[in-house]
Amino acid sequence: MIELRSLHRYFGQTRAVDDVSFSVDKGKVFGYIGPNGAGKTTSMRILATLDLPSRGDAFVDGFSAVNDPDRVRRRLGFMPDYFGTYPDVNVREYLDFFARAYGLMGAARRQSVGRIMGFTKLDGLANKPIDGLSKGMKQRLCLGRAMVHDPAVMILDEPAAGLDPRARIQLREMIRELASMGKTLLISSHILTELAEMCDTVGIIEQGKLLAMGSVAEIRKGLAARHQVRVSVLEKADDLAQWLASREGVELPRQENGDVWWEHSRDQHFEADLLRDMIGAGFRVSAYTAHAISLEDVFMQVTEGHVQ
Amino acid sequence: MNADAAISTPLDGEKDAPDTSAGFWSRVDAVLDWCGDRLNPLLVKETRQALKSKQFIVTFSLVLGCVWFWSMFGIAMMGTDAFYGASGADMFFGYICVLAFPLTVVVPFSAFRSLAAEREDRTYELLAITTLTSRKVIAGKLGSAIVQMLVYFSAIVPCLAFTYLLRGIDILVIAMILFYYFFTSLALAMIALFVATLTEQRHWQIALSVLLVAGLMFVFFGSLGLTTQLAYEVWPFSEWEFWAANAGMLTAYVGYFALIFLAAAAQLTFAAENRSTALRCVMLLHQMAWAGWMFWVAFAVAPGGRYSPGLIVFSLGLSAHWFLMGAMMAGESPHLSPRVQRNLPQTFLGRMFFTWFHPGPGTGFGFALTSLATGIGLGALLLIARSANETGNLSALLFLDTATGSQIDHVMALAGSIVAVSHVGIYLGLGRFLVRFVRKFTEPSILISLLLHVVLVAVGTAAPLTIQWTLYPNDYGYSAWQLFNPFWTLGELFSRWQGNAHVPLMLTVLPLLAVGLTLAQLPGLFKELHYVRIPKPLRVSEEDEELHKRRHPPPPPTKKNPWDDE
Repeated sequence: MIELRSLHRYFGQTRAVDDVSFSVDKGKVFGYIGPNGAGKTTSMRILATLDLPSRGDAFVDGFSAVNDPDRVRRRLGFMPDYFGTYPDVNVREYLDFFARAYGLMGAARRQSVGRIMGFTKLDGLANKPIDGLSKGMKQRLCLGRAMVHDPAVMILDEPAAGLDPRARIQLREMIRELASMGKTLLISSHILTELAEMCDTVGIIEQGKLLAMGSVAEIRKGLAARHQVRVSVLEKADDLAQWLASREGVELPRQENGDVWWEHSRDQHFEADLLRDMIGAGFRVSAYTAHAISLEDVFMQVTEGHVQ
Repeated sequence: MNADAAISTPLDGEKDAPDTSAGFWSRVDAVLDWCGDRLNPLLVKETRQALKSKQFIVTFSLVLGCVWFWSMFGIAMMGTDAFYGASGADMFFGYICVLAFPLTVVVPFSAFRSLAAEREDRTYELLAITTLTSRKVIAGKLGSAIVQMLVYFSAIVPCLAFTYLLRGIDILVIAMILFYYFFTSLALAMIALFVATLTEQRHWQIALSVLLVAGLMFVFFGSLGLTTQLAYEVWPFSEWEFWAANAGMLTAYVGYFALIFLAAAAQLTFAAENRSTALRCVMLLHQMAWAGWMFWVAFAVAPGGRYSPGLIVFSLGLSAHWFLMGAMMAGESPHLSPRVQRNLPQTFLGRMFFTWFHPGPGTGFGFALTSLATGIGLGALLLIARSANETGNLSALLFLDTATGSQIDHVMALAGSIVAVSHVGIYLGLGRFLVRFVRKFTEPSILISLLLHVVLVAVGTAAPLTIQWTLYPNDYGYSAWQLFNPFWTLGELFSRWQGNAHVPLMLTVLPLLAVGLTLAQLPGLFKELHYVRIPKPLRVSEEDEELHKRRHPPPPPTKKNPWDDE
């Protein structure tokens, strides 16, 4: 349903998007993750027909976002990372305007506006001026605007940015509901944990390049070849860190808060042998834990924190 | 909600016709609702916004306050003249002063700000991704401006009717002046919207808004000056020339209005879309309308009158028109998008006649010059025919018989036309080279392209003057240095035609240079002509077919025999 094909976007010398390709099947939720300035918004804007690629193309339901943006727009709902509201307009008028702009007429328009207000839980605020809405309410309104014409594909750029925990949970529930309706969703965030639960697939982008793609489990598995071990000793933690540094296969030994952390790329036998040698060398080990890699660790390991 | 609803539902909405089976008021309500659905969404939104906005309430209250004040003050000043004198024109002028400001300044500037703010606040992006076309966006903004105008008119029209009762001004004069103000305001709103589309950058928007306000103020004071003349004049309503002149002005108005409307919409539409063809069609229609007027005036209306001044005005006007159009078309991209290539003509004749209507700076250059040459050629043919008609011999056709005054005029008009066309060819040719050079660094917009051409003409005018006055400080007369100064050259030609030693130079150097520069454009033009039609992508064809089926469902199968039902 969504396809980015060798997408490039340059701003002068800056490669905002550098050869990004991926596709999202119908009814799937794709999480687009990367630090600020990674190129998420740029590629989403191209897909939403608001910008042109320097090379490559983006497709929605087989239509080119470059050459047939009018056909793409009919199928697409885009929620950008800004509100885009008008002064002196209330919630109902705002949704009614966009419903008209999408060509909905008569009863179809009224039903759509009513349904959206119900879905976004804004029906109690129908006559409230938009200027008086909280950030969470505005975010729900913008989600409503993006889906007023019942698009098959929705692109949500940082939908949860700046929301308090309650508003964030409400928004997450709405996105889950959209996914359950069978819509194809592309959601961006700079926080992997925020999207991990609701996405079928995630893509991690940094400096315009797609670094990893797959389900969260697949990405985690890809990184699972690397292990992290925490060792607690009753004394001589500094000596242990030095001792580990001298051992072959041990990477990044360091002392943190009285514990010693180290990493390796070998199997569990290596960990067991090292524990035996450690005790043999006279270190009094009180805990020896192979540490599970968290989503944050996955994100940190895939990205390097570069910003263009 | 249905995720499969890939194509949105305007077609379904078409079926949403008013229910005529309900009671009277329900039917009225349904009809109004049905009509409301067909209004431009922007018009609906902006009218709702305007009714709540402080700016509109303050301006409208001020207008009402000023009208009330003038009514009281004017009547107090008139005293008994209100009964015995004819003081309607004085009162009328006062009311027009109040009305003119919102019509010529507030409404157009509000239209400008309305669109500029959409772009600054990025709400335009949200509009752009809806199914609203850029033409509908411009039409909606224009519609909103018209609604504002009508509200201001409605506030002041009762007072204008009152001025008629005071005597001293004809009801037709009042109607005509209001008519002029309405169309002036509409044109200004259209220009303001076009200006708002020219740039998205804030500093340029500010610069343009300052220029726009200055221009609008100029029009405001100019219109007041004109109204003082018109309100006290006796209008020649019974003379056909008056109505012909108005119809001529209306032709020009409609042509330029359509051009600016389409240009503004083209500025807002997506890059892959064909932004040129509609504009070029209107340019051509506009020119044909003018040619039609010219023929009508020359043959049907004033067969015995002097025609050459008409040709001079026509040639100069047409040259200025096509220079501006050509300068803007030079800013178009030389690359045709695949979407445009899908609709290129395929046949030999199609390619020969319609390629000029497709986007591109090369085809734009060709289109501007050929249209200009054709227009002036038609004018010249007309002039030759008139000469032959007057003298009754063939020598007039060849311009050999220059003994009579009218023949001298005719030859001068033709020579002036050639010089004007040559100047357009030279500056458009040089401008294309300049734009091509700029394109190496950045993609120029039509505004940049227009500015580059204007700068070029300014340099072509100022540089020879500077050189001549530096080399020959006491020589203020025309010299060969000034050949590239179009204004002085044409002025010299028309003011000192007979015995002017520079005329042969004008008629050889300038056309030759124009031809040379035109030939130099051919390689670039040929590159644009290389594009051929490409097929539609399969997915697009599939959807077109699906839409066609929805619009034209197949008729139900007809029963051909008794067993068909089974």
